[in-house]
Amino acid sequence: MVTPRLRTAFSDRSLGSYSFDLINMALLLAVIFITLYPMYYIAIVSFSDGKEVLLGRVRFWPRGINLQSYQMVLRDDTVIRSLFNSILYTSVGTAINLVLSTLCAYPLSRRDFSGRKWLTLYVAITMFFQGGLIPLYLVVLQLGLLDTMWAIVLVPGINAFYMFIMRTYFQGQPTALHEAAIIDGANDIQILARIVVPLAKPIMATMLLFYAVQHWNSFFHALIFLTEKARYPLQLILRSVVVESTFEQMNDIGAATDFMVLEKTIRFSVIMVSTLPILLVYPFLQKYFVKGVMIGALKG
Amino acid sequence: MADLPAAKPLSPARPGTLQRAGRVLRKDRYLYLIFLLPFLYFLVFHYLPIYGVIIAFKNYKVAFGIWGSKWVGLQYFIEFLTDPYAWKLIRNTMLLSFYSIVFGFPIPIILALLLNELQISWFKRVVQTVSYLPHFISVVVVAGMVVNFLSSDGLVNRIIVALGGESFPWLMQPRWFPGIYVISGIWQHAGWSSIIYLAALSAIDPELYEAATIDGAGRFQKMRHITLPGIAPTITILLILDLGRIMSVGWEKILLLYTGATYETADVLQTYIYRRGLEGADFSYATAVGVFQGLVGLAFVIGANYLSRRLSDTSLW
Amino acid sequence: MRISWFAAGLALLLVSGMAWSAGEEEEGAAGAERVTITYMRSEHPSSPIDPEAPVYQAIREHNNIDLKIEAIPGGDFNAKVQLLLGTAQLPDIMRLTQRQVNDFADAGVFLPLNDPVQTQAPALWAKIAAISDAKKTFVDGTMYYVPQLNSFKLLNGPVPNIRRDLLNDLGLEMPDNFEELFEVLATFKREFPDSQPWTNRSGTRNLLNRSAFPMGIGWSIHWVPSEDRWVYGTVKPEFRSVLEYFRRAYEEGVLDPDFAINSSSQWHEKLGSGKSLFYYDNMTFALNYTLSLRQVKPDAVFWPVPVMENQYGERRNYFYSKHWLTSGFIVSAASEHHDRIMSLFNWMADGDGEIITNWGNEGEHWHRVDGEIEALPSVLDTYRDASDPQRAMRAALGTGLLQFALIVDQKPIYYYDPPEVSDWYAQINSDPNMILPVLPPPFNEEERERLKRLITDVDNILNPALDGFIIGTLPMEDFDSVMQQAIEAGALEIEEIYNAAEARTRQS
Repeated sequence: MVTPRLRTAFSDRSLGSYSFDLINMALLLAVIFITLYPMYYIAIVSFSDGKEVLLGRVRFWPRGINLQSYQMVLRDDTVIRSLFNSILYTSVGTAINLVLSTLCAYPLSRRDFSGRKWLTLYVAITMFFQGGLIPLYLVVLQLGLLDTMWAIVLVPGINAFYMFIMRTYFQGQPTALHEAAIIDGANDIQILARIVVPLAKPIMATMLLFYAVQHWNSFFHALIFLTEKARYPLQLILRSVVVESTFEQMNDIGAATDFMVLEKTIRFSVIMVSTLPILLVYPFLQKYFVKGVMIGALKG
Repeated sequence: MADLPAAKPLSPARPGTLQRAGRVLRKDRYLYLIFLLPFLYFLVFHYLPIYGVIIAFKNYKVAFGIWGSKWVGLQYFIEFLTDPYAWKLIRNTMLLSFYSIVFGFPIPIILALLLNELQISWFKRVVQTVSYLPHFISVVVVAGMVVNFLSSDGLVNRIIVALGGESFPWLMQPRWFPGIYVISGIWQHAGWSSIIYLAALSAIDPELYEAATIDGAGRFQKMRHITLPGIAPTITILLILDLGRIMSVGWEKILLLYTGATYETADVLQTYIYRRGLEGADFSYATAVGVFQGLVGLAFVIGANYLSRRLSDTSLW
Repeated sequence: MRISWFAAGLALLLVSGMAWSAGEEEEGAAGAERVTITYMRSEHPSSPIDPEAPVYQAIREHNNIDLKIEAIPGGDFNAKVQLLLGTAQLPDIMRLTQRQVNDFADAGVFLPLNDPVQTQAPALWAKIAAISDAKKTFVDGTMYYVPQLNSFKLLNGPVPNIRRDLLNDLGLEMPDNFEELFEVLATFKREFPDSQPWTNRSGTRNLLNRSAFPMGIGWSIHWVPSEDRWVYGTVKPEFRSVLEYFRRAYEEGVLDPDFAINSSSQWHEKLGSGKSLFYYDNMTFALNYTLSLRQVKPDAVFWPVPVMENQYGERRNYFYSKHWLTSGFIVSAASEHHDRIMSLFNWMADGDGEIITNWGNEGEHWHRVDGEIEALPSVLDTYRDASDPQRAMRAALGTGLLQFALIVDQKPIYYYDPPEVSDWYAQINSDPNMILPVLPPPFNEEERERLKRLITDVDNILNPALDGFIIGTLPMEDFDSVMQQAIEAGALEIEEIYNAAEARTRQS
């Protein structure tokens, strides 16, 4: 896509600019390599024969390629059901996050809002003081949310950290349209819905991604609030496969509960199965990070 | 603050103040209404449980519950702060955070700027997509990879041996632990964090670049005078927030990477609490340390916020 | 109550119209007597729990009890346990470790089991009473958990295992003492410069925990049979020679340079790929390595080394315990079904129940051959191709240690073992120098609080130092001063507390 930015960049090519481009590309190629190889390694192990892996022969290419471990993983009802749960929790949870965070960030972004200072502090304090798990668990218990999806999606309703990023973005929005709307007699709710949110697509996309990933990767709330296996999200299953249980072994020599760890191919297949769905979200959002969105919105 | 109408009491008389407050509330009634749901959210899921903090001042026994347990005052705080080992833990925690901020914080910004300068749009998309992948790898797996790469015959030592050097026990040297922690952290999160900056970059008005080009500005000048100022508020806010987390580090990774030999630099508050927790359910002690952590974090944020408000117009509140 | 008020408000605002049935529905139709009992335990990935497995169906049929099974991933189980015990929100039955039970014994959340088991589950009581160590699991005389017992088990242990094929190739003898072991491993290192002969997992404590006692002085707090008392071995002057041994092993490349950082999976890979040639750990793992190595070297085999002589002329090595006394089943004090649980326990402890929870149903999963219970060949064949056949079989049936059995019959786990494995068991079980470990005594509340503190303080000094002595960053001359610090931090007080508690237990 040819943005005005791109055209101007091509027009002022100097030698310095050219070599900068080369170095830049080389640097970013290096970034690609060091970030991609470990993912690639996980992938090739998951496709390889377990015995070849144990012999340490799988380094750069899969060996004894087969889908056996995937067959085992995907045949497992637990994995399929938890995959569905994860998708459900992530979608519902992210929707709640976006609504709540927007409702929270917008008033705090308004410099003329009388409650701004104290309400900001009201939110900020929660970043430093948590009552701890026990009282949180008791609150969720009292609300009757234990062992339901709502405990998973409501408890992390707003991430104050993300909310502040959102607020900063709102503060950076041009104020011209804003003022025009006020003159037109629009109230704050109308301004939020008709001007602020439509103009905030990049940050909405970012927040969508961040919250979705947070939900997808989270296991701790599920661990403490859910007991029914049928409601477990995928990450809990993943952890049961990759985290070595050390606690029972701590009990000195008496407790003979040593186990062989699961085959690496199976563990890595579970990692692949639990990672791929969320990776697919990004390409759909990527266009919002490309420049020019703002100007389109302003002119349209 | 100057932009708060309520903070300018022109008339000290009571009825006037009430009237004024009423007027302000009426003016902002929709904003308050918008804030209602978030307000309730924080109230229920953060402020209701916060009463649990009192077990830091009690000897919490399940049999008696939170209210019924015996008050012990500051016993756990004193016990913690008078333990010479605690200071080593605090030092290690803050050093690891400090290194992470000094070396880790600028990288996503640089990455975002470099990406922004890329001319080829498909390449840009590929780098962007690939660089955020490590964020998705579970920390257990990341730690396994770090151990693999740094083990006696891992990738790093193979390269050193190939260049004529000698295999080095990286993970057994206290001196190297912070570096390993920070570098693997950058690898995990730099691409991911750059997304925030990319979003901020997209908000910069393209007309500014066009105007600068007409004025004959070069690439680096534009980067310095348009791009960086454009994302400066985001950078400031993130830095303030990061400073607030100075007492909390990625302890799960540390737990997987440290050995007795590296305790000297690697043992941090949370790993210590974890070990103590395993020995027995020490809820009160753990909460006391948590309160201490929160206080230090809050102090840092207030300080950073104050400085930032003095030096720029960006601040958390 | 404030919380309820907010509950109502929040429910109205956020959850209205989105009702999602959360509570359990009463199973009224199934008959007045049927009850639902929740059972929580940690779950191992190679033995997932299927609530519809034959054993759980049989429990329903025979006891009219619906088990609601809450299976928590093993690696995170302790977090969940701490939370549930910390808030007194327990399921009816839970499988816990002794330490978890001890930490909450005074919280009033567990049902004291002495009386109910004695009167309502006599079959179970008889089996517990027959085991002398079992009462060591009681806290201040009260039984809070039913220790998991064994009806049949081949004793296994953390023993030295060596590549016997390489010994043969190089014309070496099986080592008979620790010096010979060092020589053999040094020879391996010379012959195979790329190898890392002696490898270890899960940190230095695992290395010392397994091998120091056989070498003459045990690591940390341990039972010394010859002295008939508990000893904190690490701080004794004799421990220096253990550290010197490993320092020499580290310097000469006999000990894996990554001994302190290997995770279990890396450790498995080193042994299974031929990189490492010796380990001091669970004997049965050797089977997996042997099978993997045979792809490249058909005669490859790991073999347990007979108990070696140490520098004091002694030979000694621990087995794993005969019973799983350090784990067991608690009953929630708040449960509404104490009587039903006791009758379930009684059923599970004897006769039909004991057999079903270990073998499944007669005719369907097992039959009798010459009076002995044997799994049906058709059942065995079903799981033969699984990567871990015996665990796959027991998970599918819902039987054995990792599911819900009070008295465990381990016989089914040996069905798939190749012939070598029974030779290994025969060897270590006939070795007179293999001894059973002694269970730590029960402590009172004051002792538990004190121990918690002492153990952390002493470990904070010893953990870094032990690594330092082995890898040479601490000079051996510092041994005395470091150990003096550990003693000042309370190492010997730990010893005293153990011995005082032990004496108390013996009196009662």
